Amino acid sequence: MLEQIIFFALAAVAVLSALGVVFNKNVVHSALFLLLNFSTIAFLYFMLNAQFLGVAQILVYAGAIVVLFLFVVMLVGADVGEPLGNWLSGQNIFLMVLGLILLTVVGTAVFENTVLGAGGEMTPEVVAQFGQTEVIAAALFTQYTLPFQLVAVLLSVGVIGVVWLAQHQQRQKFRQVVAVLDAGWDGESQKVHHDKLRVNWLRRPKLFDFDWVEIARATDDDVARFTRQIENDEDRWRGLRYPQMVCVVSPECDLSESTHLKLRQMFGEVRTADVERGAQ
Amino acid sequence: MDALRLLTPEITITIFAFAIISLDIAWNDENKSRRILPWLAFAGGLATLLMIFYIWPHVDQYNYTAATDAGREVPMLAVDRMSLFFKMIAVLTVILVGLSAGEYVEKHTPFRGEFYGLMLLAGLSIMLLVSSTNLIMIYLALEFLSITSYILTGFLRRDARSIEAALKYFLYGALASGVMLYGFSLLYGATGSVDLATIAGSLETTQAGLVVAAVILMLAGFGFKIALVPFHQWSPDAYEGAPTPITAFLSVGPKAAGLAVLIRVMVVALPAFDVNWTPILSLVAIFTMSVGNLVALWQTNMKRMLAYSSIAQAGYMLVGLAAWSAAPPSAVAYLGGVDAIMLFLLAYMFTNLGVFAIAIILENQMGTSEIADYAGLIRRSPYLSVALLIFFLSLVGIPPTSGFIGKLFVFGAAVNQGLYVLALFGVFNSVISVAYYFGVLRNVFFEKGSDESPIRVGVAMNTVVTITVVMTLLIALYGQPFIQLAADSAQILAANF
Repeated sequence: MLEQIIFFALAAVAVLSALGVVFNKNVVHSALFLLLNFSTIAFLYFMLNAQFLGVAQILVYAGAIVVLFLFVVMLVGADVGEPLGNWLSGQNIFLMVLGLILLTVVGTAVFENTVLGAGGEMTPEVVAQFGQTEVIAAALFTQYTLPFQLVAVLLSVGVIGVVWLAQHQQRQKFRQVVAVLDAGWDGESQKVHHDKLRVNWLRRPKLFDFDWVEIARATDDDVARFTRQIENDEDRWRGLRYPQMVCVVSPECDLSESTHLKLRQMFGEVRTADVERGAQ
Repeated sequence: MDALRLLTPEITITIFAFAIISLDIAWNDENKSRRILPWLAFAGGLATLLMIFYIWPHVDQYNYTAATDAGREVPMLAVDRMSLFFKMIAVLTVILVGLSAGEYVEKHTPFRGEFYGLMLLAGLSIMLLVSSTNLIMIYLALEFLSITSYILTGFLRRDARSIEAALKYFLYGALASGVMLYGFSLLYGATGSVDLATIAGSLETTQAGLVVAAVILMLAGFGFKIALVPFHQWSPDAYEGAPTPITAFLSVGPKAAGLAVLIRVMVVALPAFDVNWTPILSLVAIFTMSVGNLVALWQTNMKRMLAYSSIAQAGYMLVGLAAWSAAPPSAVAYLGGVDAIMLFLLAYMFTNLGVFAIAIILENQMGTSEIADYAGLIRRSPYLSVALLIFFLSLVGIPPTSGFIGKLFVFGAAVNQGLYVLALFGVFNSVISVAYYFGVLRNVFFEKGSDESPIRVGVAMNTVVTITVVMTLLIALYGQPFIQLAADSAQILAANF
């Protein structure tokens, strides 16, 4: 009887905290409700004599995962979400009806006791005889070896995916890439030292990852085309870097004031200095 | 054969995949040896294929023996003819897609090693999924396939459409996985087992609405992978945004895998459960065919059109399963619809990968995949134009192409079981599909394009197109071995009969 009371209390807390996760507008509050939900589930595991699982649930989910969520919220910023809008729309009502049908089906099955489950091999006696952790370890390394190995491969793939998403520098070959606007230079690119590359944008008028701009011999039109292309760049990483770049303009390059203004708006610093000229 | 030998295809492909990824890390960008990575992937695919052929003659003894996890050499996996057939489909898809991806990948991303490594791992996940006989294994393999697919879909990180496609695929996929897992948990609660054969045993005594709910939730998860209507919304966006070789892969690999696991669950776990699945399967098949074909009519982008076309093709395959489920209970050993599905899938794989190879060639050259840009292709490359004609004839199902044989068997199975309405819908849908396939062909043969420069086709691409054209014709003109192969492959381990 006591067990049932505790179970229903815990179950009620679990369901209410899950609703709290979904309906809260504040992300931090949602994460904290999630913590509560995970902990309640851990207590349910304890009640089922699965202490190892309960501890793992608290360590991994309540500990690591919720902390990770909160870190992300901290880094990205916790804006209060938009209001949920009219949740009594036709679609939502349809979904609620489907949910109620499912609830009825599962509910009747449980309360009529038509489904009790066949029961697993791990009875309380077995667990008491060998110990909780040993039983799990034995299952993991005998019967479940293959899924265990598969999880290892799966996690490697996950890591590769994360690295590929997070690594925002595609180029490793050159330490510095200079975009050069030089009408008198016929070549497309030139390697200076071993780690610096100068690329003539006028010969290769596409966007590439540069981190320095030099305008040697160019007309207002050339520069306008260049800046327009940068404005249309949709790449977020490059977009963040333009305002920090240096643009060097050669004094012999006769650019109008409005072009200078444009360059100053676009890049972090515009200098007037001699610029290395490309070969003819 | 012992467990380790039965798993040689999986072990081989894993070793090659991780070798490629390790070498990619070990060799820096300037190392010329990196050029061999794609060929290493090709070699890995061929080696795996060889291993499958090596095992093939040895698995005959397993036919129709009721075997639960406890008594099997490889726990959780069934190495039977059906799984080997689907593994062959998976590996062939990986090989053909890998061959046709070379130039595209080189052009669009510096991450070459990862691309091929992940392709092989996606192949591995399909190979595991198609032989899983255990809910835990099914879930893990399905999730493995999903995660590799998400990464590959968003592989062009710099391309907003590719990232958008990956994100949509991921969000829908996560939801589908959750729903499916809920179904698994209900089924486990009702039967107390995660092994399909044991579940089948328990279901003989447990008959409850709970199981119906569980199975429907599970079907939603599988339906998502196959992109059946109404679980198809993700696919056009994902197909359009993904790198084109990956679109080709997605249109065959995950579909075949989802279909295989659906067949296995239906055939192994559910026959004892006294519910008539035929109306549900027929309805889903009709909706999938009709929605796919009707929406395809309005598409102007080749990749998007092929996405809807592949939805429709999955609908035809489901007709086969509906036909199987309609067989009278006394004849449960009859896997008639299943061999039709396999033949159809074989034909579909070669045909669809061929179409995509052509789409990749043209995208490499022109930078777009709009159907309007296919105008005047006949003057730019007569070979590709004729190949495209053959592929589209096959997708419609007009002789003498493999698609005709596939549809003949699938619709034939439906008629055999008295599902005349379903077969009629199938034929009617094939007629609709003529409109959009031939819309492309009209552009190719009769319109005048603005660009008249000839299309350059590399050696690898040429090989892919030639292989797929030859196979598309061969399956129709010399069909007996392929029909025999499909009939032999419709043998499922651990079916309770």
